[in-house]
Amino acid sequence: MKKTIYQNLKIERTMKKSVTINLFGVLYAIDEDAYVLLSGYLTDIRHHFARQEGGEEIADDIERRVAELVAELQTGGVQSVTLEHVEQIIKQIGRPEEVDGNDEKSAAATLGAGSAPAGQSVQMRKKLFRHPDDKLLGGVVAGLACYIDFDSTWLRLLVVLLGVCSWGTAVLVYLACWVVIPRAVTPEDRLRMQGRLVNLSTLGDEILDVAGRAGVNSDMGRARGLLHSWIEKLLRGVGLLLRMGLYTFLVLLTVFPLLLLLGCMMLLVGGYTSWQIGRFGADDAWFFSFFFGNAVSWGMVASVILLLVLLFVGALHLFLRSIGHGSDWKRSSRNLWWGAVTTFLVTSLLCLACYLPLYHQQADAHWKEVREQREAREEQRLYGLLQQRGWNVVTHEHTEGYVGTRQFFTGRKSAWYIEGRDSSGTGGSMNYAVEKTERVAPGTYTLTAAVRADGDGPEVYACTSKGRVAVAVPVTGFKGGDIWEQAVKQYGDGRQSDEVLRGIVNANDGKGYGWTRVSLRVDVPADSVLRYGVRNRSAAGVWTGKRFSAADFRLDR
Amino acid sequence: MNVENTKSQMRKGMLEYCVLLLLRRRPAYASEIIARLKKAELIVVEGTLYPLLSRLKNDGLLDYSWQESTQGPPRKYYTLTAEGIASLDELDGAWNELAYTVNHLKAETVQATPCDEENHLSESQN
Repeated sequence: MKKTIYQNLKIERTMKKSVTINLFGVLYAIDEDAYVLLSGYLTDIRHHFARQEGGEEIADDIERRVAELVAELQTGGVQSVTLEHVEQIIKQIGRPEEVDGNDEKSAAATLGAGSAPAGQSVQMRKKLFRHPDDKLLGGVVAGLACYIDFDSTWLRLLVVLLGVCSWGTAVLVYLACWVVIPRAVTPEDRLRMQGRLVNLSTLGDEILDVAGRAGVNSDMGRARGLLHSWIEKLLRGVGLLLRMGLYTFLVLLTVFPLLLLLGCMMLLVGGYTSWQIGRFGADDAWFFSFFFGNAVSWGMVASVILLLVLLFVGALHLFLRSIGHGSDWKRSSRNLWWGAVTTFLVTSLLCLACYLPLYHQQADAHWKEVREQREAREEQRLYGLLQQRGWNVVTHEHTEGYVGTRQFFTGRKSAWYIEGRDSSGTGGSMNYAVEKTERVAPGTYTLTAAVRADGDGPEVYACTSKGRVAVAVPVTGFKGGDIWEQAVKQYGDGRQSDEVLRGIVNANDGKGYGWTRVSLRVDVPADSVLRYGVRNRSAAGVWTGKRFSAADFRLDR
Repeated sequence: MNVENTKSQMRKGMLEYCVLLLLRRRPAYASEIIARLKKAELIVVEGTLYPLLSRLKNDGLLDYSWQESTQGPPRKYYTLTAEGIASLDELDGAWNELAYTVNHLKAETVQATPCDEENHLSESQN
């Protein structure tokens, strides 16, 4: 017969009904059934005290006391310790739930045991265990059947049907239950599983019952044949592997995101501080954004995974409590859980705190891009407009834009005009020229245009085969201007009804946009075309401004 | 009200103090303490003592040393530490106060019982 060997309790088989135990170095003869009860008792004691601080030592002390009492029996002339002796010893020392005098529950249990000596008929709240004796795979269904008082075979059939119908989801649930629900190991567990009151007599019965069943089972196992036992072993092995896999998976699922979070936190803190200190120059921006961005996104991922795991574990705890295993949720694991929750909260807040500015940065970048794209499109449209009107861009270097809007001298916001902006911040580097070629009848023409500039250099010019004439754009800046001043004067002279005039006067909130009209005379010979236009750099190559504009070119005979 | 429960609560409350008292005179091992406590009907099941001893030891009130036994396993001889003696003294004071209060209360209530009136009657008859 197979026996478990305990720390201080070793067994050597001598006779059919009697065994020898070794208690702290001294050998004692004990009946087999008495041994079963005694070892069950000691296991329960160990189990019971395992949950509290110094519990192992207490269990050792009690075991030592048992040895002492057994030694006394021997001194008293007892040959072999019997079941009655063991029962007496257990009664003297007390059941685990009687011994632990600290909480109210045990007092109630003691009282209950006293008031109901018959035991078996008293029903207690059932606890869900995996049934170790009636199992096919993990004993989950058998345990459930015991819990809800249902025939295990029918329930099994139902579960298999459910497994088929739910496309295997039930299998996952089954595996989860296998992992979560503890197996009824001790006689006490088995009594709780059946909802029977736990006291000395019921426990003794249960122990003897199990001992008897173990013998029967092993006989039956032999009778069923090799194939069956092989299948059972295989199933058990697969079950064990699955269980280990699930446990590992859960642990990894918790540990991995925690480590990830920790790493991300360090990256974030490190990145942020060095960024603050200013070790990241413009060239290192990629480094900053790479680590910062990745840490944040991975931190988010880890947080979500961890949150799911925590929710799962919390749900598990609630489930365990609902099936009567509340005390299995040890203080240490509860602290661990709360620790994980705190870590999750802290890191996710940190991630959020870091992500928000980053998000702003990204959003800004995004909107800037969108704006630039829109501007580019708009510019292309305006450039198209320029070409449509026969204008030809001769040079366009260090220049932003081809045309301008919104500052036309008439105040019309939609009107466009030729405009070049120096692409360097300080100005002086632009080189922009736009011109038009027209075939006109020979003669003398006057070319007028509205212009403005904030620096020396721009000129309006005209070219024929005879040569080139030009007029410099006066430096007026972007306020006031001759056109505006004249308009104001004329407006004041009683021409208030002129709509165009009013527009000019009111342009730029009544300040004008700096436009001045310039004109030049050009002789066009018989065999020549006329090219005229505007450029920001004079023949001498001077350009000191940042921006110039030109519009309203007119050619009069 | 459950009298048994109250009695057990009273015993439970006294247990720690009594264990310390027992150890004041000389060191003892668990079974000796059990024998004395059982005689005084302070404990019902022996196992109750072990968690208590373990707790007192962890709290630093007790210490123990191993001694071989002629029969059975080696024994843990428990002794009071300095801290243990100090807290025992404190408990002594608390007990004296408690005992005084309880006795005082009892004396008061005894005077007011009908028994006394009977006594008066018998006196007057005399």
